[in-house]
Amino acid sequence: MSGPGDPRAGRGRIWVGLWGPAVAWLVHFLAIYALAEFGCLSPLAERVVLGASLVAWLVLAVTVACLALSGGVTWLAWRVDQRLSAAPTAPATAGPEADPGPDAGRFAARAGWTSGLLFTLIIAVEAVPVFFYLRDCGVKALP
Amino acid sequence: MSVGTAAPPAQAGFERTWQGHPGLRGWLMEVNNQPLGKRFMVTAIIFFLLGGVLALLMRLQLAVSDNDLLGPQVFNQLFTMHGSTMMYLFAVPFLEGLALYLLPLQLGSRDVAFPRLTAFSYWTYLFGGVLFYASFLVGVVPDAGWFAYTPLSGPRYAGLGVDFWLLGLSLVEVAGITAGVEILVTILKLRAPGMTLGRMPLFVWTMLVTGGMIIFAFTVLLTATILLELDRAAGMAFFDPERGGNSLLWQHLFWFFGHPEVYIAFLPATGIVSAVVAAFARRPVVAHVLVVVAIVMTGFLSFGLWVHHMFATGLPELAMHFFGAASLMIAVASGIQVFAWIATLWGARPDYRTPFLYLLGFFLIFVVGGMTGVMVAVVPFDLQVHDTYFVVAHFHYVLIGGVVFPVFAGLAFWLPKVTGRLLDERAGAASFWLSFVGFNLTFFPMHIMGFLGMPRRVYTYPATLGLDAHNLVATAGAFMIALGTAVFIGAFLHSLRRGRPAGEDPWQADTLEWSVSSPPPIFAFRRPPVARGRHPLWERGRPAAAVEAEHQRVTAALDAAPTTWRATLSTDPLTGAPQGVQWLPGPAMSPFLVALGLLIAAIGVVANLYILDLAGVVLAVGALARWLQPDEALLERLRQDPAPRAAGLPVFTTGAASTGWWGALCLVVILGTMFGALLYAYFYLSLFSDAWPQGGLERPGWGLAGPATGALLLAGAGLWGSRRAFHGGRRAAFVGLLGGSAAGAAAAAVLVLVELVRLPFGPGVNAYASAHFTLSGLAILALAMGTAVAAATTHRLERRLERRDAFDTLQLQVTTMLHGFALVAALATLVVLHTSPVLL
Ligand code: HEM
Ligand SMILES: [Cu+2]
Repeated sequence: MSGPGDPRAGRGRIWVGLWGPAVAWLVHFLAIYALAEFGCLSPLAERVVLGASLVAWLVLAVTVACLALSGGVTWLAWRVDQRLSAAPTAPATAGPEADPGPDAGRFAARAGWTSGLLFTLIIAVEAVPVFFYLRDCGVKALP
Repeated sequence: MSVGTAAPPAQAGFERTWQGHPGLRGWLMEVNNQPLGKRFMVTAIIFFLLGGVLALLMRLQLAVSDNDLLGPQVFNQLFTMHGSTMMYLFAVPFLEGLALYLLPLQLGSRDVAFPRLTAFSYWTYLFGGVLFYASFLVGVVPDAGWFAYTPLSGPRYAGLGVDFWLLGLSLVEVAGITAGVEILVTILKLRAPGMTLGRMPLFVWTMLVTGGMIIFAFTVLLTATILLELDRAAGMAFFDPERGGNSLLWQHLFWFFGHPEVYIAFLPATGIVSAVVAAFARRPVVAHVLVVVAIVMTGFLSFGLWVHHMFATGLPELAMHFFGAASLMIAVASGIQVFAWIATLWGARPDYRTPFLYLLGFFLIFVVGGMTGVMVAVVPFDLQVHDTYFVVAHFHYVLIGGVVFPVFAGLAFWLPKVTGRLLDERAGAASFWLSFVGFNLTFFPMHIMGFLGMPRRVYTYPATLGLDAHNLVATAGAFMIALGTAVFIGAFLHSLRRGRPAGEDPWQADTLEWSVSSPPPIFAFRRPPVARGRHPLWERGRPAAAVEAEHQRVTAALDAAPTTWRATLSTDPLTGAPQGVQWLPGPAMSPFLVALGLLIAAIGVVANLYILDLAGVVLAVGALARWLQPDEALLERLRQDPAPRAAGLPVFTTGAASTGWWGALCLVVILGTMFGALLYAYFYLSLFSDAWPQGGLERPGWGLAGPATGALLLAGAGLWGSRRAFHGGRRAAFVGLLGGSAAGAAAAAVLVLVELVRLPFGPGVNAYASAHFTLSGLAILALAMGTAVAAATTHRLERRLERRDAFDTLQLQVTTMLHGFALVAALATLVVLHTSPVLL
């Protein structure tokens, strides 16, 4: 049970809010690494479309998608925080199926949007190098 | 609600239940976290001292130019053993031991989640370390550096020493991984009622993230060491360029572990720092949420840095710059923590006692190490100082400043809890000043030596280099550090006999470990505590929330209870609401025997005695089977016990409410990571090959793999159906479906095996063949595990079907996870091995 005025910030949403941005970062990083390591040696690196190689375009696409994901989760966590902060401090109930009380939920939401802001920033910064290698990947790896 | 004490007889029974067995047998059968945590820490400190002696020998050799005290060969062995000892046998195991000892006390639990796993972890760690050092007895000491780069460490250039290194390390990795699981599940499931996610102490947060990191990083390293040992002992070609292998593959796999490794040691150290800062400032660390976020960020980002150790290897520039950017970002996370500590201490009037002195030492040293770290994250700078003494200086500032000083701060802080006695303050201060001054004398000149061109890992240098004075100072400093350490140990031994009694809470600190006597009773808490806030001991006067009365009722029912079996409360990972009374095992020999089996098998590989391998595996598997075998009489006793009912909680829970489910999940993640690392190796090798399969070999057709795939799909369907049959209570259908599923997995394993046997080439012809055989082999092993688990579950649950309860449901859930994972992983492997992935 939750306090009055607290429209049940669900457990799933709390966990997603807490770990979502970090996972978005992880997906982004592994994807751009794989594109640079594997893609730069593949025909994708040679195909230039609209002034940039396909590798660069894919890196940009993955970045936009992950920014959207991370930003979306940040916003979600922010909303949960707002809603839980508005509710009067209702006690969490005990028992196996207890609803996350405002204390746990508010903490998780707050940690979620804080990390969301940071991870979103980091995703953006990490993609910057691609603008310097739009047409090629730089020095090739050892054959 | 009164805090009534239980009747004396019951209390005596409770205490007896928690006592270990006496004598040597009892010592081998110990499973409690307190003695084992202490053993972990003592063993790690002994390895620290050994590693220190090796360092002193190196510094003696380097004290003057053109010295021939040791010679190049011995010097190679010394820096290899020194680096490996410090990284694998000291830093991480010590912190794991500290966590195993401290976490239950800090969380309000009576023990960790899987006590027998604690014992297993300790024995594998000890055996691995001993195997490492056994190389000295045989006279073939590892000499390929602490990261054992191929081809130097491959079969052509390195002797038996590297086999000792690889196998000892494998055991230590297994120990690390199991301790990581233990830490993770304990934190998620065994917190005091009321300890919500937001009320977890910062030390616990650091260990939570570290536990997760260990599971991924150590598993990748374990895979890498196994591959290298396959190259060396079974003639495979993963890292042999002449047969299509790739040396950079080792570097990728190693640094995917190696960089996080630094943070695996550093994060818990920051947890220690946060605990000491809060206690000495007498107020909470400011910006708690932000610090938690920084801890989580460090954990994740540390996996995005591995290539920064490979800037000099010629990767695509684009890839290198991604890693350069990530390396700069992680400084943000460390910065958040450092500023939070400074802000907490701002205006506080701390006592300058030993823990706080070591803390200040950490601040000063670590900031320098962090700055040089940002310098080497800049690619052009790194190319200049790569492999010089600048790097040696940098990582010792980070490792000693960031890990060793916090460890000593933590020792000075928590030893009074462990021993019940305070350290002598004057001796503590003396040890600090000796170590601190000695440290800077040793390592500051090394920055300059690096700029002036002194390369690392070289046993001597000419007088013309003009570095004699620098080196002599460094050697003198090293002996000062040794003296400082000796003074600390002397003070510790002195305190055991003569130290002033510490009392419960000598530092007026805030967390639950300070609420019990020093040393704590073996069961930690007679009555499980309730966490009222984030700083339970500072919030004793705070009015209790309504929910707390409910928690108090639960814990009162468990005051000195149950009396005939060990138990602790299990709680919800998010809210800390009580969910069950968790049974904990008592003394057992099986963990020791499993570890012994692994040791025997490892010795068999080193000595090329395959009969020993067989014996070791049989022993390990047999002991493991006994370990996992449910004890029906015990289960019946648990069902009847009145204590859980008095607390209003179940003894058996299922799904995410149970510890077993989380343990199984961890195992699945570990095995999945192994498959992932191997698949990465497979694709990486194919990337650098002109043709794939290499050397004109032909990819095996679907003749056997087709039927195997069919068998796997049928087994999956059977597994899915068996769950429904179980919950519907249909015995014949259940037995047929789950038993059939086990048989299907077994059939698939046999088909894959037959395919391997009938291949026209062996695993050694080239790297493609090695990867094919190893992936198939792993799939066979996974299927064997799935088959065994599914068959055992069929056998047991068949008899329980009419009386099935939560324990039986949990068994089926765990079986579904493990067996289901085996099926999926084997299926994915078959598909990859028998199709040409589109990209290539
Ligand atoms: C008493 C303090 C210590 C001294 C005097 C010391 C000294 C040294 C020396 C002389 C080297 C060899 C440098 C070279 O020629 O390449 C070295 C390497 C190394 N040290 Fe230390 N060390 C100390 C403590 C530590 C600690 C506490 C750690 C880790 C927690 C550590 C980790 C390493 C590593 C990883 C290497 C590299 C080994 C390799 O090149 O494979 N050291 N140390
Ligand atoms: Cu690194």
